[in-house]
Amino acid sequence: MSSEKKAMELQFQVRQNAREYQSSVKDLYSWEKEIKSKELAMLNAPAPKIQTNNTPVRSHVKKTDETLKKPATNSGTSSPAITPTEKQDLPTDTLAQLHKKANDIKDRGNSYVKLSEYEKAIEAYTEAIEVYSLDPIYYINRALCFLKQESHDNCIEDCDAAIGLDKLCVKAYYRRMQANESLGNNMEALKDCTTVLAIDPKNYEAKRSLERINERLRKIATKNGPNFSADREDFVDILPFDKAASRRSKQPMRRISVVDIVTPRPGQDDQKQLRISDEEIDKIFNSNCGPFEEVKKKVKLQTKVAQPNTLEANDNLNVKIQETKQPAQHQSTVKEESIQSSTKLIETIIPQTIKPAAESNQTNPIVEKSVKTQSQPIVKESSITNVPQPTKTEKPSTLSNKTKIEQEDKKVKTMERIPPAPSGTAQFYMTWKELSPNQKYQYLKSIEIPNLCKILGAGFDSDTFTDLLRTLQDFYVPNKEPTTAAVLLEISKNDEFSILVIFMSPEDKNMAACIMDAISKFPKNNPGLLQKLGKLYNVA
Amino acid sequence: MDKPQLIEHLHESVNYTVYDTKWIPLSAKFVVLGSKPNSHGILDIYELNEDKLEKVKSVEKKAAFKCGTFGASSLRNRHMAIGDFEGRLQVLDLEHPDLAVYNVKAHSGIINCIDAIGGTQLECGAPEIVTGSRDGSIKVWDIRQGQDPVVDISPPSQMGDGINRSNLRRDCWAIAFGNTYNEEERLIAAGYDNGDLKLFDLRAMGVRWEATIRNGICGLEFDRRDIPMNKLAVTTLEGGLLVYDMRTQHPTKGFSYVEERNAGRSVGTNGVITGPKATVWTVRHVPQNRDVFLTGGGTGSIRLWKYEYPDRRVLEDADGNKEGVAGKLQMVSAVTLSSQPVHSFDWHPDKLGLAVAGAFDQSVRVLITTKLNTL
Repeated sequence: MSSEKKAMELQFQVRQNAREYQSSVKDLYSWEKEIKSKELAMLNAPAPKIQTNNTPVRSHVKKTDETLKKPATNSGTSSPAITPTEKQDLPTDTLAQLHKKANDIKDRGNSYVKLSEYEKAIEAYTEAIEVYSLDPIYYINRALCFLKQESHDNCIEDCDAAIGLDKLCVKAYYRRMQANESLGNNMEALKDCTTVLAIDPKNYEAKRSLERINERLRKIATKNGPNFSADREDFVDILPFDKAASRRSKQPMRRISVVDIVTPRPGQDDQKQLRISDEEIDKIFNSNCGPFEEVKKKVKLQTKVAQPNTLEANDNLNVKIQETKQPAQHQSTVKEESIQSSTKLIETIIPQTIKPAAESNQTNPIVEKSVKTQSQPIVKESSITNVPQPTKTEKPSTLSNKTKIEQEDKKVKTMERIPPAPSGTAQFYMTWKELSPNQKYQYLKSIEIPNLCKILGAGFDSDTFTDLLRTLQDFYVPNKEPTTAAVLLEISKNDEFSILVIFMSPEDKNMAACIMDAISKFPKNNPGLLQKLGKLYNVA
Repeated sequence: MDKPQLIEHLHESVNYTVYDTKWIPLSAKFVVLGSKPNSHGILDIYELNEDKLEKVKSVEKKAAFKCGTFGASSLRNRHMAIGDFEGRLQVLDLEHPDLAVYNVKAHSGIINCIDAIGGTQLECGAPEIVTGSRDGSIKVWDIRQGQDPVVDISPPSQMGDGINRSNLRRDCWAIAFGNTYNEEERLIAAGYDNGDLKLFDLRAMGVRWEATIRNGICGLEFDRRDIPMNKLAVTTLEGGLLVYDMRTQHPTKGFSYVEERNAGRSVGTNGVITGPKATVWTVRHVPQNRDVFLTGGGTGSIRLWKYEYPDRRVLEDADGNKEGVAGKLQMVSAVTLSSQPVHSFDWHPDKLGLAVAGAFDQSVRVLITTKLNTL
């Protein structure tokens, strides 16, 4: 019974709740309508009676401490009178009011400065000064604007005014110093700088550096060095600067002996000299100088004369001078190796070691060493792994053939700088992109074979692959580099190689096939290696 | 079953995070303040229209909005004071929201809480807006005065590195005006994230009372702002709800209170309270009945409470000092609205039982309450 009753009650309740809910919703809707109409009425009502709230603005009181004293009562609303009006306030607090007003205007100016709108900022500060002229802050702010606009005279004026108001205004002296510096009034700038330091020795950083600059300027203004000619208007002083230790080059310092350079023949040489590109000069003056490649001018006339020259020169120059042909006498200078140069235009700087071309060939049956062998620029103390193989083991006959071809090929040698062997993948790729084909050849040769695979690294893409093949084909093969096969093998060891081989274009494949053929014709080839290579490269 | 019921009448999903919802006085519209995913602030105005909500206006600004209030605006002009994530205080005219009526860079940190008073009340002092911010300072603003606050309550500025600074300055999380029964008196109650509760007297310009509660204070409200202060409801992290009796201040013991520690937990089917202690985010007194208030909890549930006064509100202790006596809290009803915290709630000042609630599940709900008049 009771449970039934309860159930009944519950049901009853539920129904009642539902009814109530409905009624409240209806109520809500009717209220909504009502209020919307009220709202409309209010919005459309005629202009509201201007009901100025008579209660005063609470006075500007700052509470800086959370646990505060209890000041006398009514201090909170003391300054405005009971019926405050603007007029009544003025007599009691004129200056402060003005000052405040001016400060507001100054704030406006400050925001303009932040937006770099110096014109408007200057206007605002001028207005502030008009309202209240006794605050040096407006003057120095305006001085800053003038400084940015490079109207240094105005800046100095304003700084003067600020200093007139406040003798200890650090910023005014600072800005006047800056303006004076820009105008070249070094003495004035120095005076101001010392004043700044006198007032505020703690802010030494900015001031110290500028003190230094002032020092320098003073020195330059007063010194009279040996090479000092009359002061010309358009002379620009180049001031030395200090490079932070961390930013200096990390390359070890290289000792380069100073050699007297015989002045070149005027005329042709001069022109050629002028053609030295800035890049080349940069490369010289950086501590990153690459191997010096000797550039020879092919002048057959001079061969006889040249020979003794070359002898000397070779003795003296430890700098990496590479000559394509050396007289056999200079076995001692083992290090000097020859690099094949391509058919390019010269840029001679040291033109005197002229290739004793055909002549030397004929005179010396013992062929120059390491013509055909891969050569490496003596760049660093790094070991020369590919020791130039004694040429005697080479086929002399073909050599002479080759030299002839060389002669024809090489009209002029280039003063090419081969970059040093790369120490890492990134370096390799960066320099590789910048090189001419001939340089690429030399560069590639410079890389130690076992490192080649690592240097190619994971970024080994098909463009580089094509490039390598082309280099191999165009240079290694004609020059019968015995390391061609080794190079090919190393390339194949790279992780990316398998994919790249699959994506070889028909030209790539042709090139590879050519190279293979050529290799097989090399003397001293390794048939086993060749077969392996053939498989690797033809697998596709 | 006789109890008042909170019923979700309308529900609207939005595509931004809702931070505050407020009714526009004398209308059937409400404002939703939020933050879009691209961190722009958005202000939507919806109107009740029978059984659905109509979006009337949508305003987008560069900085996300955090909190807003209509307290300082008169009935005629709907000027809403809004605090945003960058510390700017703007007073926007909702009819022309593009140009702010008043705009000031109030704080260096996000404005966490805002309150305003004086717009519609007569004889209770100047209309003012108070903002509390993450940078630990509280500032009172009057839009008739330029760019400076009228009152600035900040902890002393720290010397030294910024690391120490942030440790010593507590964030101000909740703020409320109170005790403005005449032109001079005004109080600000402020709650901080470490549980500090401070009462600032703006007439005397000093700290009237301070206390520290166990958990950080999330919500604060006097039961009525324009009467001599009667009760102060405080909600905290970890499900704390305290109601202080503010009529009597004991010289040493301060104000007495009643505490409820499980105010945030979810209410099960049979009224069984279960679940972790969730934050109580907000507390709102019913405008028509100052002893009934609602709390919004972190589990998405809202609870209606009734405060019962004790027989004697004032007792004299041994030294002859008067000490207040706190009454009792009774939970009237509880409803779970969503799975995410209900952090903003506003009763309609004109219609009993009508309310709008915002939750972190990107939705806004309009609620009606039945039988509220029986309480």
